[in-house]
Amino acid sequence: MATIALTSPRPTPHVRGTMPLRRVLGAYLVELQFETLRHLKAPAFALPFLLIPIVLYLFFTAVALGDVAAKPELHVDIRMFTGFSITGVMGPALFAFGMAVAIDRDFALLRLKRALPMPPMAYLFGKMGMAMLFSGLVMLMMTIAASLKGLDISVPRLAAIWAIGVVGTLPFCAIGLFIGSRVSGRTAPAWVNLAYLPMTYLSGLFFPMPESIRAIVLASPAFHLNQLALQTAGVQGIMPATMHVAALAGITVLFAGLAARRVARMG
Amino acid sequence: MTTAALDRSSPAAVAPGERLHALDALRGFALLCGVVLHAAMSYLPGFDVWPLLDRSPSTTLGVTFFVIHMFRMTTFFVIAGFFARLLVERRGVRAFVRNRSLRIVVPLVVGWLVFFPMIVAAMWWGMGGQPPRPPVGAVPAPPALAFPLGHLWFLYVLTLLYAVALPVRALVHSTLDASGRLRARLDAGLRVVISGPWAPFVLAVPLVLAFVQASTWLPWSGIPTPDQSLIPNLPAAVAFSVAFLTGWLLHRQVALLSTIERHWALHAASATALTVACLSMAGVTPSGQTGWSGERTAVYAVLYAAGGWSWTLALIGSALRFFAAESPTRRYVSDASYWIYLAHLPVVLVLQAAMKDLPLHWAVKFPVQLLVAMAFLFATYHWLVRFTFIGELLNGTRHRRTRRHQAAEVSLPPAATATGDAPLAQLIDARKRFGAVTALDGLSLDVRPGELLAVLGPNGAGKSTAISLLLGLQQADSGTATLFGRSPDDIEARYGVGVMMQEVTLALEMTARQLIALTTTYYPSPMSVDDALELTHTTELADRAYGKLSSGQKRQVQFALAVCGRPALLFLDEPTVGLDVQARETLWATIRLLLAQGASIVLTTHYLEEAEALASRVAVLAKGRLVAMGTVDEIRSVVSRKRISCLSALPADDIATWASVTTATRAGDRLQIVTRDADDVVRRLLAADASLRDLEVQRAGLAEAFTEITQEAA
Repeated sequence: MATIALTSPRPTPHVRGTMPLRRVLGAYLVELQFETLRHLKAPAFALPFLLIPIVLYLFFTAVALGDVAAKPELHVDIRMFTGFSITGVMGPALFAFGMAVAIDRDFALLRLKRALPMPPMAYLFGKMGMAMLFSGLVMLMMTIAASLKGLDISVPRLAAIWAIGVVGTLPFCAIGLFIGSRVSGRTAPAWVNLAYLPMTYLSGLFFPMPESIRAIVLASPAFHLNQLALQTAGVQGIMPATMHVAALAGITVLFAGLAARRVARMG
Repeated sequence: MTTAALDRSSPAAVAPGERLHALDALRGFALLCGVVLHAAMSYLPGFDVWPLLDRSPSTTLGVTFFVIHMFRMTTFFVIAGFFARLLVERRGVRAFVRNRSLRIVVPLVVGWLVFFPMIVAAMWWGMGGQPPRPPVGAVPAPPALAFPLGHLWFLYVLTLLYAVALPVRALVHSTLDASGRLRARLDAGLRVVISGPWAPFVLAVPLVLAFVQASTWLPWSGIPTPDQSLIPNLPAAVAFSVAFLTGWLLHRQVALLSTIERHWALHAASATALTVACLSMAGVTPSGQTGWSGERTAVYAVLYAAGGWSWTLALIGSALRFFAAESPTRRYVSDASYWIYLAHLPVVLVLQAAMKDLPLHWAVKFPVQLLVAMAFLFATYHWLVRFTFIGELLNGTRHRRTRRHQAAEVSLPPAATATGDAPLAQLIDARKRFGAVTALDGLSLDVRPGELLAVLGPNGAGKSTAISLLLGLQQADSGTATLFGRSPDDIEARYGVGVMMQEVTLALEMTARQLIALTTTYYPSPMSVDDALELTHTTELADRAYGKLSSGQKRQVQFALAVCGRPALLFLDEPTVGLDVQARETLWATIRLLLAQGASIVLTTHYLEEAEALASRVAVLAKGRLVAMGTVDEIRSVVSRKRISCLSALPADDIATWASVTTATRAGDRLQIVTRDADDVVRRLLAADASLRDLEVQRAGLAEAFTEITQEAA
């Protein structure tokens, strides 16, 4: 035991200057690995998010579509595919951030991490990376399922939709982070569902909104992300893709900014 | 009095240094954005101003161009104005002129002579030896004093601004505003503008007027680049003078930067919204459209100019917020950015010319071009500029090639002296309020090398708040907190810190081994996970899920997390709560081992015997103030009183009048006397009452000392 050096060879940390870049990157990767493991070890989190979208997709495309599927101009098959993919992307991001951040705050874990020399963005990066990994997985399974069902989209387009889904996780991470930074761990599930469910149904993912309230979809990131995926799949869009990207970027910046402000003040 | 005033002003004197790092980094960022901007121009759909159009146009890059063009130069000129005033105030007019001549005018002239021919040659090659296409449509008359400044126009405009600023400054100081009243009013005005959410709109007013005035304004292209003539066009002249002046005035009240910092998110949101609005009016593809109605032009001018200012304030705010600390990487990049911007255009043009007809998507070509150009430019900076006279000319210092080696040798002695007896962590006159509650009321505290400082105090005394300030978890309302001589926000300061907090729940699903492994990644030279487990006697807990451990075992794992980074300074908040006697003894033994190896420890505890067993010094807090500080013995002797108790018939009231007696009371037969001089009182008691029996004299323990001190403070 006497062989363990308890303090650094030079107990003047400011002389050591900075961490080598490799170690900083290492810290980010370990954080990502840690977050992913943590959520995989909680099957109650992992399984529903991995399975529900694909199960619903298979169910609806096999059973419930009926004669609307016969009208090719509606692109119902593509809409089903992108719609359930986007739902699958939203889940892990909103819940991992919304609930986990709230709980970490309740448990003072975030406070401890802020006191430690954790690389400043590692915490968010770990969660974001984890959410994107989950999205990537969900999207991959959706893509395989869609191909098996004979969805007619070229491979490069499918790859592009996959990438859009993965990057499109970010606005939902930001919204989740915002919720997580404001509410307690106990009430977080309610608040997250309050964002998740309306976003699923009121974004025109599966059926068009009635004319009178159609404009509300513009406020939903799910709508914009779905439009991007649809346009990539070759469906004529309503607005230029850049506007959707701008809206998504705007939502991300807005919520991430509000959350960062809150976290910086209150911990 | 004087020293106190000086001390209080010192944090303000430190802070601007950090702000300069942030602004310096932002200036570098703005310049590097220019490289992206020019690289993107080849891909703008239908943008025939640029001679080398790629066959794969991109709306995305069009929007990228639009956004960068909106803020880049405004941001640059604000920072230029800020640093201009800083330089002239710090070094005087003569040194300013000399410095700016070398750093701005010489690069302008020499840079133009060197790079302009290269730019023309690259374009010529790219167009296959064809002369440039004549512009379509009506040819505007060439401007007066036409001169192709190229991308170095910004140095020319900057020179003009300096040339105007210096005489104006002299005039203001000597005649226009000798009393300073006008300037005070100007300062107050700017304060009002910057503090409000509408700052971007107010600052945009001059540019809006200039836009509306301009006879031929292409809305999509924003501020027309003044690179064609020695007389800058009106909108550009107005935009950049206002930006420069704003920067100059900001330096008069550096405190305003904190306001901008606080509002960064607001400005970022408004920048995004305004940009979207502008794009929806002007379209996402570049257009040379001019024939807008007056109203439409006016609305767009407001949105665009305010958007540009929103971006500028958002960027300055976020730079201050997120990039205030000095970072060698950022420093290097911002040093390099000036050279890179001067030299980038020929490189970018050659790459554009070489790739424009390749049958590849822009999403492939553009990143490749950017990557190759940046790699080449950084390489030329590193090998041709940084360590040569060019670097000295551009950035004011020539770096030594052996710098890294030397830095290690040079910086060691001052650092060593700095930590010789200097405190590792320090609070100076720290005040902190939470609503109506004063948590800290002018607390000063220091932690010295190699000591264990026990911080005692009743609940609500301010212990946790004091530790929070030292760890950078909260900011003091006034006063300073330093960690290893730096701001606690500085991650490099926290590399030397280990922390064990109360009421932390770590990730329940993970094992102790995983938790320690994660924590070691935060530190530059941590111990191995096995060593940390062994040291804290947690090896047998290593592979069990944290959630399944008992509360005492959880505390032990948290202690392992605190020591695994081999910190020079440990913060332990109630470390032994919930531990059984044996675990507590082991933890104490480890603490003693750490102290023997030179670590310093700050321990907050309710267990006074813990402080008595371990502490080198004790600090007692009450109501946010330091009420006593010293070794355990010193604290005890602060309360030199002793308690005498005996069975005697002597009247308590008489004894209470004796010289050294503080109080004398009677409870039944028993006399209770508190005194500063027990020996003398006992002698007199025995002399006065021969039948006195059952005499007891007690010396106050730390517990009593503590209770008494805090009661007195209350």
